[in-house]
Amino acid sequence: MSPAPAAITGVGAVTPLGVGADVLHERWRAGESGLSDGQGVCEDFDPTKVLSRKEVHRTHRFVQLATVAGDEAIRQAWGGELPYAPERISCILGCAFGGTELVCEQYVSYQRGGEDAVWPLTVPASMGNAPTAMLAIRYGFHGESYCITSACAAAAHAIGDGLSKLRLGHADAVIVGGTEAAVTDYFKTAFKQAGALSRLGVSRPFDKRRDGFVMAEGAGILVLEDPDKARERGARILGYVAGAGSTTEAEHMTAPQQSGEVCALAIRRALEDAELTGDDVNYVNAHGTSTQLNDRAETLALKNALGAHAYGVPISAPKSVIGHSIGAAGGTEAVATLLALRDRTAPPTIGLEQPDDGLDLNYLPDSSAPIESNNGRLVAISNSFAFGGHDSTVVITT
Amino acid sequence: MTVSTTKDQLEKRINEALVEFGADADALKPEATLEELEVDSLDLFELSQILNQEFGLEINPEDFEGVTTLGDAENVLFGYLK
Repeated sequence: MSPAPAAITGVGAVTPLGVGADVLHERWRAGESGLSDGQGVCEDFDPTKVLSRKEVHRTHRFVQLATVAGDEAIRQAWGGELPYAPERISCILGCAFGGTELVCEQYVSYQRGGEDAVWPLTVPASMGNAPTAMLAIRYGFHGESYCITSACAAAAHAIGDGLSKLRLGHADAVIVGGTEAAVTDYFKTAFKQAGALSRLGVSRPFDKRRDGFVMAEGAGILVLEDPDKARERGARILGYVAGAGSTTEAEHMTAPQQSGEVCALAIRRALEDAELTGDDVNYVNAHGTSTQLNDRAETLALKNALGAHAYGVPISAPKSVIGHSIGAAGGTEAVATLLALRDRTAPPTIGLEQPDDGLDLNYLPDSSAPIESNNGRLVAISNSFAFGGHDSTVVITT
Repeated sequence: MTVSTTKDQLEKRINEALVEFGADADALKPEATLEELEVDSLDLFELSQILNQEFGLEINPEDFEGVTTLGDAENVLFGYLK
C-alpha cells in the first residue's frame, strides 16, 4: 500500500468549548475551559440550527452532535455540492455508547408497559451507526459507511480506516471522526464504579493530584480526500493525515499497560506509516485523561517512542479543557491538532500545577507555546488509548 | 364518550403528534399527501403507538398500505373507533 497521506479539506467540531472547530482552538489556546460542575456539556449546542424538527425528533443527541460537526466539515470542504461520485464517498465514525441509555430507558418502558410502551424509533435512534447513516442520507453518500466502537480509540481508528480506504483506492473522500453524548448520571456512575472518573470532578492531566477523567460529550469530524484528486479540483488543503498506527495491549480490560510499551509501538507504527521518525514530531496532542494510570503510561510511551526528543517537544492535553468525550475524543482532538499546526501554536494543559514524579515532559502547564520545525513542515501526533487496551495514534502534518 | 367526540379527540391527537414529529401545523389538511407532509412509515408506526397507548386501540400499521393523503390515514384510524 502506498504511504500517501490523506488531504484534510474540512473540519467540524462541537465541544464543551462551543460549536465550531475554530471555537475549540481559539478558546483552548486562550486557556479557557469548557468544564463545569465536574462535566463537559455542550451547552451552546442547538441542533435545530442544522437539523430539521423531524430530524431532531428522530435522533439521539450523539447523532445530532455528529450531524452538526459533519455539516461544518462538509460545508468547509465542498460547499453545497459533492465533488466526487456519491459512491466514491464513504463515512466512518466512531462512538462508544451511542444511544445505549435510550435502549435502557426503553427496556424499562417495555418491562412496565409491554409492547405498546416501546418507542418505535428506539433502534434507529440508538444504533451506533445512526450518525454515519444520517450524514449519508443528508448528503447522499453511497460509498461504504459504518461505525467503529473501540471506546476512547474509536474516532482515531475511524481516521486510520479512512486513510486506508483512500490509499486502497476504495474511495475518493471519506468523512471520519467520532461522536458521543453520554454525560448522564448513569454513565458517570458506571465510570466512577470502574475507578476511572474523577471523584473531585477536576481534569488535570499529568498533575500529581489527578484522580480521574471528567466525562464530556461532543463530536469531531474531518473530511479526508485523495490528495491528488483534492489538488486537481483546486481544493484548499488544510493539512494531512499522514499516517496511523494501532496496537492492542492484550493485558487488562481497563488498566493501561504500565510500561507504555504497546502504546509506544502504536506511536512508532503511526510515524513509520507516515515515513517519519520520532525526531520529526513537533507537537503531541496527548490522550492525557487525568487518570493516574494513563498519564504515567502515556509519558513512558512518549519517552519510548520519541527518545530524548520527547523531553523538548510541546505536549498538550485537550481533556484538560473539554474533558473526555470517549468515542468522540479522537475526532475532536484530531481537529484541535490540525488547528494547532495551522496556527503553529500548542495550547496549554490547563490545571497542571504540580507535575507528578517522573511525569517530566513539556506538558505546557501555563500557556500556549509556539510549534516550530526546522524545515517548515509541521508534524504532530494525536494519541488515543482506550479501555480494552486499544491504542491508536494518528499523524497529522501541514 | 360518543363516537363523534372520540373522532374529534383522535383527530386532534393525530395532528398534535404529526406536529411533534416535525410536520408543519398549517399544512395538516385532509387533502395533503403524506409525501407532502413528509410523513413516512416510521411516523405511522409512532403515531399508531401513541394512539394505541392513549386511546386503548390496537392499530395494525399494515392498514396504512396504499394510503396517500392525511384524510385517508385519518379514516383508517377512525375505523378503529368502536
